[in-house]
This record gives sequence, structure tokens and C-alpha cells, in this order.
Amino acid sequence: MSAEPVDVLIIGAGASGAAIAWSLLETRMQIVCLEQGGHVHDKDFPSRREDYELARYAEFSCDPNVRGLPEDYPINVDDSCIAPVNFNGVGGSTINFLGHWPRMKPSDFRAHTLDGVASDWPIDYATLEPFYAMNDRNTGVSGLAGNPAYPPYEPPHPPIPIGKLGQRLAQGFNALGWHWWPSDVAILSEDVEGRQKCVNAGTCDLGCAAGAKGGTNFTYWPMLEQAGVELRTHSRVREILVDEHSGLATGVLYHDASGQVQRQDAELVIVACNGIGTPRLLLNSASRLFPDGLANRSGMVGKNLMFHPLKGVSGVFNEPMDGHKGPMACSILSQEFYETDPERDFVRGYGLHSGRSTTPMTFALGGYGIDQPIPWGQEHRHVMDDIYPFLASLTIVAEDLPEEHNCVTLDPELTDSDGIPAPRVHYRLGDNTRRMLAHGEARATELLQAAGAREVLSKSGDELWWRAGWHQMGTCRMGDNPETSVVNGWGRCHDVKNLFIVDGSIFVTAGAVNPTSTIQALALYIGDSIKNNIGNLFD
Amino acid sequence: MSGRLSAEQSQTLEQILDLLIPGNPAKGIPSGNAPGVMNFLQQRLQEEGQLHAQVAELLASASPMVVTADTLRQLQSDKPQAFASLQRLVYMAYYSRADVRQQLGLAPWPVHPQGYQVASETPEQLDALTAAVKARGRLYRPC
Ligand SMILES: Cc1cc2nc3c(=O)[nH]c(=O)nc-3n(C[C@H](O)[C@H](O)[C@H](O)COP(=O)(O)OP(=O)(O)OC[C@H]3O[C@@H](n4cnc5c(N)ncnc54)[C@H](O)[C@@H]3O)c2cc1C
Ligand code: SF4
Repeated sequence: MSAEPVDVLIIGAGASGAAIAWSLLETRMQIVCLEQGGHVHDKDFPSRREDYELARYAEFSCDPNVRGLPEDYPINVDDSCIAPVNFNGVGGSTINFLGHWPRMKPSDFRAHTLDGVASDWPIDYATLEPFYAMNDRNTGVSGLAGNPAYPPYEPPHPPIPIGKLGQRLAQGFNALGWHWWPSDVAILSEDVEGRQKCVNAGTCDLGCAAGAKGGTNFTYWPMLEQAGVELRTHSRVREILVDEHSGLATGVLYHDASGQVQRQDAELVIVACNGIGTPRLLLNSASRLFPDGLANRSGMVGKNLMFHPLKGVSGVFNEPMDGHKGPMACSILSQEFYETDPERDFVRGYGLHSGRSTTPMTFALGGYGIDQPIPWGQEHRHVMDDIYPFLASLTIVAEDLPEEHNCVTLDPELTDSDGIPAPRVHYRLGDNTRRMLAHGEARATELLQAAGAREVLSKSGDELWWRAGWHQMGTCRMGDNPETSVVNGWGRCHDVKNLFIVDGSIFVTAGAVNPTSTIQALALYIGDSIKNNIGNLFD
Repeated sequence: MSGRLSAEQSQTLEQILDLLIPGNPAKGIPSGNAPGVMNFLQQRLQEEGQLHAQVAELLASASPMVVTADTLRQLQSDKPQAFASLQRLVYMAYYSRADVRQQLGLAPWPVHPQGYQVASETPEQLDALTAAVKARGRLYRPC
């Protein structure tokens, strides 16, 4: 069945799909968004249930292979040391994301020029700066102005508390003379128009029932639906169609809630399915014109997958750290080791993030992202009574470099519930990243000792967080050269002039910060570029 | 195979629960055999046939002896997968209990809507804490 053609068709209602829809609202074009998941209502979030922690191992797991809901697609991770995690529904992965909100830094856009690795971005920090600010206002970002690790800017809301744990670690950083700053967060520190300020519940991955966390289910989507954007849920796109003569995208085939295939034509198609879902969709859209996948004449669709590999180091202190109170991920952030230092045995750098400790079940089962239970017997009692309450931890968040062999392909057998081939992830840790993590582990240990930890605990050897593929980047990268990149400097596919990509797959490099503030700033920038070029958009 | 555990199996499992998570009477923290844990396990085992089979096999190896920590260590080394499944399930059952959470210093209630009180640092406190960072000056490469 075929519906009337629309002006703009957005695929994916997550972070980036929502942001670009908002940017294009003022054009008065007819906008339809197809989203494979449904609305997740805040009254249904597990944090309202007494046994809320159980949801982390079932329907609210961050791992789609564990959730296995009809709207999820499985991901083959047999050939990867990190499992990608996500959420599929209105809000996308911002439903269960943790709201840590650092921006990328000016040098992140110039890795090749400054450090001789990867490629430069076709845009720079100054170009994105107004869109970061615009998105921070729309999202409701809290933070402290004056961070010397960035060019000046002012978060719209005052910082959330850094808490006992943050204060203690800050004293350690000060003792060593290292940088730290209260984290910018997409979490409200004050009530704003129907959204409540953060109540420090500490279960941000289970959906924020207060509406304090800036998921697009609370920020952009209510506004967009009210303004007339049509959001079609339980609509999974299986293929983007192209016209054989013009080479332009004409629309999509999608499965509706009953599994029936429908067709939706559009003048402009925008893909916002994230760093795994987007290359999957393009590879699934092969045709006579594009036998290796849509918009893939460069061969770069699916290549250069980057995560932010993580390691955690914990300090055991003499007084309880109240780590379960406050947003999970963010108290303070150190960027002392962020920029390249020729004295080190790696290029680029990492951040030291102070996560809070988690709730008892998750801790007993091995911690968030790990899944190896703590010992049983008397040792169990010791760990729960004498260690768990006294923990303050640092996570080393490393910048990954783009490497072609780290990639997303299509699995020859595995499919989703509509029979569409599932993605397969091939990923191994690069040597530069490995050295960076080792350096970070040693610095984190030093810091925790300086902050007064009586004992420092870290995982052995090469052990990484397994479910740490939160940030999926690089698989349809931006660039000026159509032979080495998929989209141009404003998100338009080199090969298909009315097809745009706006999610993390267009990142050229990963930086060492959580990506969503940059993903959404980019989506707003691309929306702005579309508006500025509307007269000759397809030339 | 799925279904309820027999009385003998339940007795063995209760001993295992005490050993997996010993209580701390001084702090009023119950052992793994806290009220509600067995019910949770029974329900899960009824729902999940494979798990039931694994646990039944473990219990068969353990009973009818009095179960000791040594027995458990032996079971863990003989049947690592089945043991790991049981251990995981017991941790889930035990720590999903509001009363246990409370004994560990957390709120017994669902965390939303009430959450926790955390005082904000005053601007003066933050100024004092960040003074040293600001004094060191710019930390990014302009480009
Ligand atoms: C547990 C967790 C914690 C995180 N914490 C942070 C954090 O603290 N800070 C941060 O910056 N980032 C964090 N992230 C990452 C952040 O959520 C993502 O960077 C961000 O949501 C990506 O935005 P996106 O628009 O690219 O994709 P998403 O937000 O994932 O949205 C993609 C949407 O596309 C839909 N879709 C995919 N394929 C199809 C199809 N074929 N048809 C129709 N619809 C489709 C999906 O259902 C989904 O809703 C976290 C993620 C997770 C899972
Ligand atoms: S801690 Fe704050 S941001 Fe996180 S879920 Fe609770 S209210 Fe929301």
C-alpha cells in the first residue's frame, strides 16, 4: 500500500531524528517520522516499581539481544569485544541514556592536522558552537560556566549536586594539580515547564520518570507532535528506494505494526537510525544502481566503527560515599589527559569520568556493563558490607581511532522479527586505545589514592566493559572527498543528493566524550544547512 | 522440564541460599534465605524449563547431604554453568527485595517519584573547589 508522498521523511525518532525534525519545523514542510518502536510512557518506567532493578536484566536491559522485544533488532556480536547497546522507541537511546553531556573540543575536529591520525572533520567547533547552545536550551542542560577545558560558554541551568563522592574526588584532583569540572548534564537542576528537576534517584538507565533527563521523549517529541509532525510508531523501514534514472531517493518500504509492507514516498529522506542501524539500513537497500549498498560508492558504509572503550577503577574510602544518590553517570569529569602529549606512548587522549556506584543487585551481579557476579559466601558479605557503601569510581573513557576493519556488515542468517537481515559487528581494540586505557588506569589509581582511598580495585589485564557500546560512531563518515566518505560537510550523501544522514554514524573521529550533545548539534546544523540551501538542494 | 521443586529439593536449596549470601545479624541483614526469595526462585524455575533442569541437576548432586561451603565449592567446579545460573538467580531474587535494599542503606520505596535528598553545593563552595583549576588557565588547544 502506498501513502501520499510527503516533503520530508525521517527514519528513527531518537536523539538526532528529533533534533532535525525540530530544525525543519519552521519550513512548514510536511514531515513524517517512521520509528520501529513505540511510545514508552513514563508511568511504565521500571523505576516506579519496587523490584525496579530486575528490569535491567529483562525488558529494560540496554542490550537489544537481552531485551529481544519485537521492535528490537538482534546484533551479532560474536566478532566483537564490545557489545553495542541501545533502545528502540520514541526517544531512541535517549530513553535509557545517562545524560552525561560534554561537548567535543576544538582539537577533536582537527586530529589529522594536529596529531597526524585519522582525518579532519569538514566542519569545526566554531561552526557547531551556536547549535550546541541551541540544543542545550531545548534539552535543558545543567552545568557550571567557566570550564577552562573549553572555549567559553554558559549552560542554561545551574549544576546538579556533585555530591559527597564528587567533592571527595575533586579534592584528590586538586591535590595532584589535575583538571576536573562538574559535569555538564542533560538533566534538569530546576523545574522547567512540565518537567521536574532531578530527584537523585540514580536509575537513569531505567527511564527517567521525573522527566528531568533530556531524552527526546520529554524534550523534542511532545513539542513536535503538537506542532503537527506525524510520528508513525511501530513502523520499521526495510529499504530506501531510489529512482534508477535520477539516482534520487524516492521513499521507503516499511513494515507497519501488523508486519504488512507499506510504501511511503518523499522528496527528502533523512536517516537517523544510529551508528549501527543506519549502515544496516543502507546495506539492506542495495539495488542495481548501488549493488554494494545505498550511497556506498566509497565503500565506507559500515566501516570505521568507533566506540568509546572503557575501563573502571574504584577506590574504597573510609566513609560511605552515598554513590546510589544522584544521576548514575555524572558527577565530575577530568580532561587532564584529553589532548595529545608527545611524551606518552599514544596519540589523542581520554577523560576520567566519575560515575556513581550502582544499586545493590547490579553491583552484586558485577556492575553496570560487566556482568560477572561478586563472590558468594563470607567474601560476599565482606564485599557488600565493607566495600560497596564506601566506593567512588572513575571510568576511563578513551578516544577510539577510526580503523576500517572495525565495521558493521549484514549477517547472512540472523534477522529481526520482520525478517530483515540483522547487523553483525566486527570490532577489536586498537593498540593505541589499549595503551591509552593502561595509562588511564594508572592515573585513576593515583588519583583515588590522592583522594584518600584505603584500597583501589581494578579489573585485571585487558578486561573491558562488555556492554559498553553505548556510543556508536563513524560508520558513514563525513568528508569532502566522495571517494573516502559517505556524506558531505552538511550530511548529504555524496551519491544520492536528496538523502541525508544525521546520527553518530557521520562522525569522522570519536573524541573522548559522550557523543549525544554533538550528534544533536550536528543534526541542528544539518537542518540549518538544508534550510539555507533549499533553493538548490539537489544540485 | 519445569515445575515446582520438591520438598527435599527445597530443603537443599534453602541451605545453599544461607551459604551463598550469609546474613549479618549485627546489622539485621538477612541471609539469602530471606522471606520471599524461595518464592521468587520457585516462580522463575516454573517459567524457565532450562533453568529448572540445571538447578535440579545441581540439587541432585548436593542432596541429601548437609550442604557445606565445601560442597558448594565442589559443585561450582563440577558444574560451573549450572552453578553460575543459580548464583545469578539468587542474587536477583535477594536484592530485588525492598527490605534487603533498606538494610544496605538504600530507600525501600521505588526510586521514583521520591528519589533521594542531596544538597546542592553553594556557589561559594564550588568557587572554592574550582579555584585551583581556574588558576591553572586554559586547557584546550585552540584551532
Ligand atoms: C545505556 C546507555 C547510556 C548512554 N549514556 C549516554 C550519555 O550519558 N551521554 C551521551 O551523550 N550518550 C549516551 N548514550 C548514547 C546515546 O543514547 C546515543 O548517542 C544517542 O541516542 C544516539 O542518537 P541517534 O539519533 O544516533 O540514535 P538513537 O537515539 O539510538 O535513535 C535511533 C532510532 O532509530 C530507530 N530505528 C533504527 N532503525 C530503524 C528502522 N529501520 N526503521 C525505523 N526506525 C529505526 C530506533 O528504533 C531508534 O529509536 C547512552 C546510550 C545507552 C544505550
Ligand atoms: S537520577 Fe535524576 S535524571 Fe536520573 S532518572 Fe532519577 S530524576 Fe531522572
